Amino acid sequence: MGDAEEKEALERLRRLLLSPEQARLTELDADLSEPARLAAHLRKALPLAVKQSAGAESRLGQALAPILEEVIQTTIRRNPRLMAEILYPVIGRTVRKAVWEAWSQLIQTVNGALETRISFKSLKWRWIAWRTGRTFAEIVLAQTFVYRVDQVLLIHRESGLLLGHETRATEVAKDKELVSAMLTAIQDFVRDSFDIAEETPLGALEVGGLKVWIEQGPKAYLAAVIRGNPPAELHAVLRDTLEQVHFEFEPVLQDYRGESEDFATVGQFLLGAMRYERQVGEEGSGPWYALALGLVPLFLVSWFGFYSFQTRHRLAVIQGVLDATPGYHIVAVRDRGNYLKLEGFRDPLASPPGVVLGPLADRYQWLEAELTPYIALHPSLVLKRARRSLAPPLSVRLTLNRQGRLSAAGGADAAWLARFEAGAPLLAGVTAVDARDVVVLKTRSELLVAELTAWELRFEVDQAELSEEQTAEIAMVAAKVAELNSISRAQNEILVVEIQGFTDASGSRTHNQELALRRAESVRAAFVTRGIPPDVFRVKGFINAVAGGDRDRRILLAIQFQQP
Amino acid sequence: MLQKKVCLLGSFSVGKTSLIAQFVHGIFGEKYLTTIGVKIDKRRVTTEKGETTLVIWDLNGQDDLQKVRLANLRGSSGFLFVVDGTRPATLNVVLELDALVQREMGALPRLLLLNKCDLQDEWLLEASRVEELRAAGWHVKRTSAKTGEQVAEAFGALAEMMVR
Repeated sequence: MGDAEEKEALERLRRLLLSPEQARLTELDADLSEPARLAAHLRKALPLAVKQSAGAESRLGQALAPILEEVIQTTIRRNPRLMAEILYPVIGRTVRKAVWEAWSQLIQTVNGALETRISFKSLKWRWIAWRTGRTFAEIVLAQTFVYRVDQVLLIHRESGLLLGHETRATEVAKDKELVSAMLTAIQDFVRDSFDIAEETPLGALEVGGLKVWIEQGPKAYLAAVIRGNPPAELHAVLRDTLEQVHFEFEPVLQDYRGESEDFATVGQFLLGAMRYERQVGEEGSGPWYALALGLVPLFLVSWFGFYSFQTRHRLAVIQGVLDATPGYHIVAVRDRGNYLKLEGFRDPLASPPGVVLGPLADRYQWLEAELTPYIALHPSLVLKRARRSLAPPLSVRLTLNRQGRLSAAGGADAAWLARFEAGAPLLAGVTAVDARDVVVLKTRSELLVAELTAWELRFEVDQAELSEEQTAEIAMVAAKVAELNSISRAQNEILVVEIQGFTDASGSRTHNQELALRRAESVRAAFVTRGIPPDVFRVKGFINAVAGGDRDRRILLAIQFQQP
Repeated sequence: MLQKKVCLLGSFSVGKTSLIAQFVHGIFGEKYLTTIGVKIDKRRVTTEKGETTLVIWDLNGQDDLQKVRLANLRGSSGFLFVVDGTRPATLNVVLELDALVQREMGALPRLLLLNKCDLQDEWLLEASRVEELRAAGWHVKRTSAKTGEQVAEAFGALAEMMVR
């Protein structure tokens, strides 16, 4: 065997034995010398390496820190916005947290300050209580109401004589006969001094925390003595009360000769106006420092005494209010802690108890009314029932006198008149019917014109936007306008509906002029959205020169036909 | 229980306010007379119809008829006219006021009070004049705010006339 041969055989053997290792070595060499391949390997190992190194001794961290710092610095220098964006969620939260902490500290400080203030206040209240001989709780109550009607006086308009008077048991009423006469004299004085027309009602007097709201009626007026800040809705409550009194006592008011007996029962009507609303949150803010003064027992005793008195008084007022409301007959009113239970009878046409009681029931979470339905013969409900079942056209006015005579007046078609004459006598509470003032309108278009001109839409003070209720009413009227429009077209006439907006006399002329127009415009817009061509309408604004109350703020329609 | 509004009328300083001062119950001070021109007081009297409350409107002196505030007179059931017996001119004012009241409100119960009857020396109203007034249908009473003479009687008499 030659040398070369031997060499080659050895080489073959070596290749045979070592070739896998050889290949592996070459690969490893390549892994180490080619950066791309090394990176691929490191990528797999680095996370683990970092993790392990972070666990034991943070040499890696220490080694990396300066680099990271440098990297961060460079990044911020190069692109500060990027950094801000990255940090925004963190900073936002941090800042909020800091602000919240500062805020709650501030609140604590304020609370502290308030408490000391209240403690001064409570001392003041105690002083007032001691001075006036009333309980501390009463004083607290008097000072923690948003508003409270303390007294209601019903006063004969002409003579200033007192017709009726209701007061809270907790209020000391000054001589009421003198007060009512003086109120009348003051109104005369104001009217005379400022040349105000006789009919103009004097709305309110105000002295310190005390307000006197005056609601004028034709024969009598109502003066409500109110503490705090009453809401505007109270005006409506007073007006309703006054209207009810005028309705119930109409004959005696007509010719009043100073006989108090005539108005012996007026109190139940006035009770309904004794509304109040408490201040939220102040109730039960027990002054702990009073403990230190040893006054808590005293406070509690008087509070509980007053509380039970107050509950009884409240229930009596609630029962009074409901009983005075037509369509209610209340047998029992019970305070069940968080809810109020009513037992008795209710005409389904009467307003729901929650509406009648308004803020009186606010302190209860809910009302449980076990009210059996019945048909009340109170005139207002008889009238309501008649309106429902007889469905008079808008141009007919139904009235009911005290003897139960139901009268209809205005324009109607023959079919309705027949329905009225046949159906009205069958209604409960109607003893006679009178249709002498009904004018029979022969054509459909005559009836529609009469209905549209009789229609009116009233507005709240300084209000030109339409409520849901108003929009619904306009929808009903729009159907009539549309019908009249198609009739007049068929007869080759052009229908022109003038929408007249009115305002009351309060406020500036320019504002009122603009308001009157805005009212008319919003009604026009509502008609137009109901599909009536806009060119049917003209709008006009008017200002009522002499205030006449609610009826001043309204919309009326005037109808014309033009030849093409 | 009856209530009646009564107006007290007459010239300045005939003693209207002091006439009633000790016979009535009031809560308003005299400043109301000079500010709003009216002061209200009341007095309870017993008549044949039972207890009656008189709500008395003491009106500021009305020498100038133009300035009488008619609204203050409305609803009144009776009138007390006051004359100063030492100043006969005050009677003329009262007669004019009476004519105004009759024109505006018709015939209503009224009483004429000749006040300051305690000042006998200065009394200038002739007896014959008083007789003429009585003959003309006036109910006349001589009163003194100082001594209280006839004042309570005057309220009682007017009340009886009003409830009748």
